[in-house]
Amino acid sequence: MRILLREGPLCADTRHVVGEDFAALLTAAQGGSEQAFSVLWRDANPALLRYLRVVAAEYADDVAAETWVQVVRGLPRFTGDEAAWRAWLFTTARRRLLDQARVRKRHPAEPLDELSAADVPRTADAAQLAMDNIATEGAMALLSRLPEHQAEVIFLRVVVGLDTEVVAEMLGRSPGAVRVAAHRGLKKLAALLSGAGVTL
Amino acid sequence: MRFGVPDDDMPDSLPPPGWGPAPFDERDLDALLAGEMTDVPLALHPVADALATLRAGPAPAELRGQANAMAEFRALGLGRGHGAHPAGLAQTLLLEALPADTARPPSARRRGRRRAPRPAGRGTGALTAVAAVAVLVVAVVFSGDLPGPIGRLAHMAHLPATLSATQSAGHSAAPKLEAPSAAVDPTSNPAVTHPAAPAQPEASSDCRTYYGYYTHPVSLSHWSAEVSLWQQLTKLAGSQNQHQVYLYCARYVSDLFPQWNPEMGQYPPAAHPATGNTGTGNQDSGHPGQQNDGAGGTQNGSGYDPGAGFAR
Repeated sequence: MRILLREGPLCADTRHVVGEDFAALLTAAQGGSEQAFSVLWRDANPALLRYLRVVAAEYADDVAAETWVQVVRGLPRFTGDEAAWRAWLFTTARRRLLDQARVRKRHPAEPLDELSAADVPRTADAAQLAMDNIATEGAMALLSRLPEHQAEVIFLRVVVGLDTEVVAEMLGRSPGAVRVAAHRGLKKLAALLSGAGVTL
Repeated sequence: MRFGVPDDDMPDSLPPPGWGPAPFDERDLDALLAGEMTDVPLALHPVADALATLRAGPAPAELRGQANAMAEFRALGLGRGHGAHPAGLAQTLLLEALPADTARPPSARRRGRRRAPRPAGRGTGALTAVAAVAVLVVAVVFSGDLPGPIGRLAHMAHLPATLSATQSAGHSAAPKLEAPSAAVDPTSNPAVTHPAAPAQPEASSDCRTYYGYYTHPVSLSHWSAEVSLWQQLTKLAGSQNQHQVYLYCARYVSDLFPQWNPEMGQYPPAAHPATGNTGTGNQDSGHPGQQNDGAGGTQNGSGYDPGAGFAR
């Protein structure tokens, strides 16, 4: 079983980690292999969480958990390659997201008081972890400054690696509209980065 | 007209913002969307960097929910844990109990029948007998006293995981420790190599044939051949102990099992020398993905490192 290694934070590719072994992994996971499912989960969950944090930061973790429950239930019936797998996963996530938004709209929840910084449990290397993640968090914050549909399109196209047609089908738009939204988003991103002196 | 030249040739204002050729065009944006991060115009470099950052490897927090997902995987009856391997690596037929939700429901006709209650002691006695036999078999297998073919078959289920670990992690893997410390063979010493025996073509052939069954499991019709081979090997090795036999054969079969290196204290699963406190240090080989949850023999991630794709 060959797994491509990520070489570094900036050289990583979240789109084709499993690669040619995907079919074998999927078959094994459908047959009950926890190891194989674990590889699929670890491959897709970071991108899934980032996507959800860009489009709905406040309940990203809940939606991600619900998404995996749904995916596990449908896993034995799924057929397709890695691109189809990702399309299915993110389509499921988007539907769960819409469901969650409806529920929260009908039953708004009162947030609990936030913990003070002194009360937040910390690990010894929390500062180092924070430094490691700050670039990714900054990029996600930057993407969140775009209009939601533009940020969503850019994320699905570039980070998840879905084709324009697949994204269009997911979002219920035409491929042309998806392409225009992506271009506008990238131009706006370039303007934000050049004008505001944003550093990552 | 000043300085002898027309005003048009020497404008007194700067060009308006945005004047001049665009720093990038739509093809550049399409390339960026397609994942081309290297050959982008200068003006898009910050965007390319931001997108590359979004595609960075996972942070620890992003992998924190794995336990919940795996629990869901098991709860829905998909996960089998022990013995479940990626496709192409599972070579052993495992007979497992059906999950409760997939068991065939009793038919209506059977449901209507009422049987006389069995004597209370009968079922308990049978269970006790089965448990006693199982404990005996397990103890004997792990102590290495069984003939080789039996021990090999008993432990064959662990081989695919070991091979998988070697292939996926790219380095030698120590077999997983499973036996309790009570099963220690105090006479085995993995640091001591087998006494030199004269090299014999017959011994080489026997060793390769016998240990070839590890890599190419055959049907039970070869049982008698295996048994006779084992007996020959025990005579040649001068011991019934599987460690000693493997030590004797190691020189002939080392190319078959690069992951088993007796000098490093690594043996076939049936004859792992570190089954207990022998001081070999193999109880925690440090191999990623090898862990024993200690509950019900479930082997999660043994020999297969799901995190191999996320080395950062």
